[in-house]
Amino acid sequence: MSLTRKQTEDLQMVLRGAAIALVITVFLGPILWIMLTAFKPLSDVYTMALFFEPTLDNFRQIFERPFFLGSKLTNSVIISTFTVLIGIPCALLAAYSFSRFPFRNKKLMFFGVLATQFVPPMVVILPIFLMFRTLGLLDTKIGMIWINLSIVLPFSIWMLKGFVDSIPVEMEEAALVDGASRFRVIKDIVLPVCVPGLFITGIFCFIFSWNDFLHALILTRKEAVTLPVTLGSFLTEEGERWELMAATGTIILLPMFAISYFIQRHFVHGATSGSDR
Amino acid sequence: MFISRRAIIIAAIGASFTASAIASSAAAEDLPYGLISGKPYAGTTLTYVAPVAGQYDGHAARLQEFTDLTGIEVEFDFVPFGNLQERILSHKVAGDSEPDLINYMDSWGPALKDMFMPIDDMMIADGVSMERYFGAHQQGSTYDGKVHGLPLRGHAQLLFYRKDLMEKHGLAVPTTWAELVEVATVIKEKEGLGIASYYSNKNGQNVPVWMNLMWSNGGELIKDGEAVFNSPEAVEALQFYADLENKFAVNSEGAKSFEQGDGSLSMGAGNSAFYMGWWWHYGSRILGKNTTLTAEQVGFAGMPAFGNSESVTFAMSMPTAINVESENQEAAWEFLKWVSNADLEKANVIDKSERNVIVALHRENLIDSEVNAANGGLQAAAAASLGNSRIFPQLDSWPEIMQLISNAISDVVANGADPKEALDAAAIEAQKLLDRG
Amino acid sequence: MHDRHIKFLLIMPAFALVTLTILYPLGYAVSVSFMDWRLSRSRAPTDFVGLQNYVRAFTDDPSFWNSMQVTIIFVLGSVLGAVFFALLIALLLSRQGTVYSITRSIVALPFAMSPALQGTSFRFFLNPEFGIFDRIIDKLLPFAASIDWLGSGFWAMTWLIITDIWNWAPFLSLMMIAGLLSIPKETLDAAAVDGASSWKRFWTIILPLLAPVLAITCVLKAIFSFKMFEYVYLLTGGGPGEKTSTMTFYAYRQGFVAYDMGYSSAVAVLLAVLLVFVSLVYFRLIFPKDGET
Repeated sequence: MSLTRKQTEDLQMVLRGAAIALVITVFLGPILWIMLTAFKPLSDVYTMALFFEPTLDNFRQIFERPFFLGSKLTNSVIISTFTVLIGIPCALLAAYSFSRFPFRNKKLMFFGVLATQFVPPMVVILPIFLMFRTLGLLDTKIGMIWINLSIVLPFSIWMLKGFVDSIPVEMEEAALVDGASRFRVIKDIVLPVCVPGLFITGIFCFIFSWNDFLHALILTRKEAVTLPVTLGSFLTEEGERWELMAATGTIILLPMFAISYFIQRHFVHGATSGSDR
Repeated sequence: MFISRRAIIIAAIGASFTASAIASSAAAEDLPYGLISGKPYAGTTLTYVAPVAGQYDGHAARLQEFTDLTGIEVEFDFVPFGNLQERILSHKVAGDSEPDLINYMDSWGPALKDMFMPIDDMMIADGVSMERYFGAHQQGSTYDGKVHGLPLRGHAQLLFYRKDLMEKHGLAVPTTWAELVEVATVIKEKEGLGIASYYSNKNGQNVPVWMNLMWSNGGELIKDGEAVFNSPEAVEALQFYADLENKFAVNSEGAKSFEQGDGSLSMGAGNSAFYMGWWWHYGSRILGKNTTLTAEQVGFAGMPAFGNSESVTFAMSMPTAINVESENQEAAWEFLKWVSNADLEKANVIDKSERNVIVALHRENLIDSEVNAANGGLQAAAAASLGNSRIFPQLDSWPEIMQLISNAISDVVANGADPKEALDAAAIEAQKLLDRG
Repeated sequence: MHDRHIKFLLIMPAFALVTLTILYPLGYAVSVSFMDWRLSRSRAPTDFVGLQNYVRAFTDDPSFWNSMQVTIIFVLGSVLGAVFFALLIALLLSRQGTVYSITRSIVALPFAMSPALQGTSFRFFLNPEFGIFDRIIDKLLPFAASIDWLGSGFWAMTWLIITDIWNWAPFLSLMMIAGLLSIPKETLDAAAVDGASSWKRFWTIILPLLAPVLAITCVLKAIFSFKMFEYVYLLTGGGPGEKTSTMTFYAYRQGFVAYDMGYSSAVAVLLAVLLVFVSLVYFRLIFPKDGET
């Protein structure tokens, strides 16, 4: 017996629904469990307890001595935000150039951009430390923004080039013939179409600088210390303080909820602009 | 150039001591702990790199006393313990005058000692003696016969057991490993609870318990520059250590991948009847806020002996040393005298209002009745354990050799490797490191 | 302005920001790999030793060979796994509608999780006594109840890969969704009108259009897989034995446990060489003629 068109569609709907439920469970489940842990009293942290007397004690602790999360939160926000604000425009310009212009040994050059990231950070951290010391950048937010940029930029250029590549050149050519400058073309034609790509790259930059641990650990002391260093300090000599890690992790995730909201808005926007053209 | 600068600094310190000795004999007031009166270093701000732990937090909380006495301010730079070593190494590479003081783990000492100032002369001048500590803690910061730091934190190993279950089944506290297996077999059969052993090779943490077995069995790690931890005694110790899991089956579920903290959590949650490890687990995991066990249910004793010989336990310490490049070495020494004094340590261990610190190192504190009353007698048991304790070999290649041994142990227990072959292979690699000189 | 100048002008800001912070440390690390620098002995590199560190890796160090094998297994597993699941999720979620957009925002979260928190948490999730993963698996697959997830080489590696996929697949899927959503609707509509089945549409239209983004996600993921450190450090510590000791982890161990920065740098340089090799092969396969314009 063959299914009618309606039945096929219904079946597809059910399958899709089930798949979406599975995706949400798999990816949201562990996060919710960690957030739940953040509100548990210590007596329930290392148990399977689903019902417990919720407490804000863990959150109180992380904002007090010796952790003082407040100032680190500010540092993290400043450093990550500026990394994105500086990084994305620079990356878009470079990606556009790589995408649209002929270069000698372009493949090699482009490969070189990425190859800067091939060495694990713990091997280059000591030379970076020595360099920062000489330049007086130790324990400064500017230094941290700079080091984060040097890590996220190569990847951002790569990611954005993919998106720029997928934009048909014909529209630009028409505009150029009409006498528009390159910058105008980038601003008026490339930028709007690239919005989903820019967002996804921006998120990448933000998350990477937001979660950077090793550089912050070695290059900061007290003025520019960021959240992940505090998170690391819950791995104490006397074992992990998982409940405090969970509380900090919950705070670290908060801006992500805001960002995800923008993601969904801009994906819709990006999709519309995609179908418009 | 480097040496001459150091010589000048030491000479300068010597001069300042002579001067201060005259000053203090003239001054009417006498400060405690050998501190110099008259606040000669008032206005100095010291920087101090220390790991995050209750002990140091307790020092920071009581800092006002020191500042009132000396006029010296101290900034604590708390570093995550897991990354303390990387941080200290970055200071070593830089050769900066900051931080003035550094707290480190004794096993890193041989690799870091160049950056620490020998303090023997100053100790003699101010009447600070290493005799106030047990042997293992004295050795932890002494290199080539010179003291480079004072231990502020240190651990002894103990055997923790469920007193209530042992009494219920009329069992005696084991003093040898053979007895432990017997007792554990009974409890496992009757109560379903095993030994919370931990064989994870993360950071070499499965090595210390094996070292007790091996030392107790007459084995050695390294002798006259030769890696001898693959001797028959050592192999036998490893075979037995692995047998706990694979032959006697007296361990708790998950031991193969447990870290030491997982083991004590398991005991605290009532899922294991025995735990062998650092004493701090008692306060923060076995009887911590995470458990429902009471002090009446948990007993502790020295580590069991292997074979017929006596028990030899491993002990570690975390000394604080003065940066050899520091520009405030005299002031740093003042702080070191204060922060290591017995009264402060006692206050830290007795006061349970804000944090539960159990670690004491002064002999007098370990056997102090007030200290023991506040901690259920833990320190007295540790003192007994520390009486016959040893430390890691003081070699800069030891951390890597320990990792080699640790990998071998894990390989035997989890991956079924042969103990002799695994230790032989580790010894070959270790010998290469030792021969490199 | 002429294109010849403008193309360099556009690259300049990024170039300036990257080179200063990357090239010097990179050059320093490469030069250290030819030196004897034991941090325990000296605060700066001491002697030039030529290829000695490299010779040691290839002829005198079983742990190095092991780390190379482990790295290759991990990279294959995590790259293929992450890209595969990312593609599935992307195909599922690249549609308009509230449910889809909400799911997309949820899917963005795992990537935002700090590696330190995720590594520590996942290890607790696998704990046989209170681990949520362990408990759920015990319920669903009773025959797996007695498995010690991190206590054997096979399972430890499997969970290492799963942990990494959980973190990366969502982000890669968002990249793909961004690519999918910029496929003009008319192209898809036209194919639908032609009566092409969804399966055929996927192979003939969607996949080719998605190829540039897919290629980039693969390279991106491969680089991060080769360099992955936190999960090994937190989840398995390289064990049991050395079954999950990757090259990155091994470079770390040589540098900060054995204090041998020279050898550590050599291991890292070899890792980079391996990455260069892999990406060159990959480029040959994916873009046979691209880029020489």
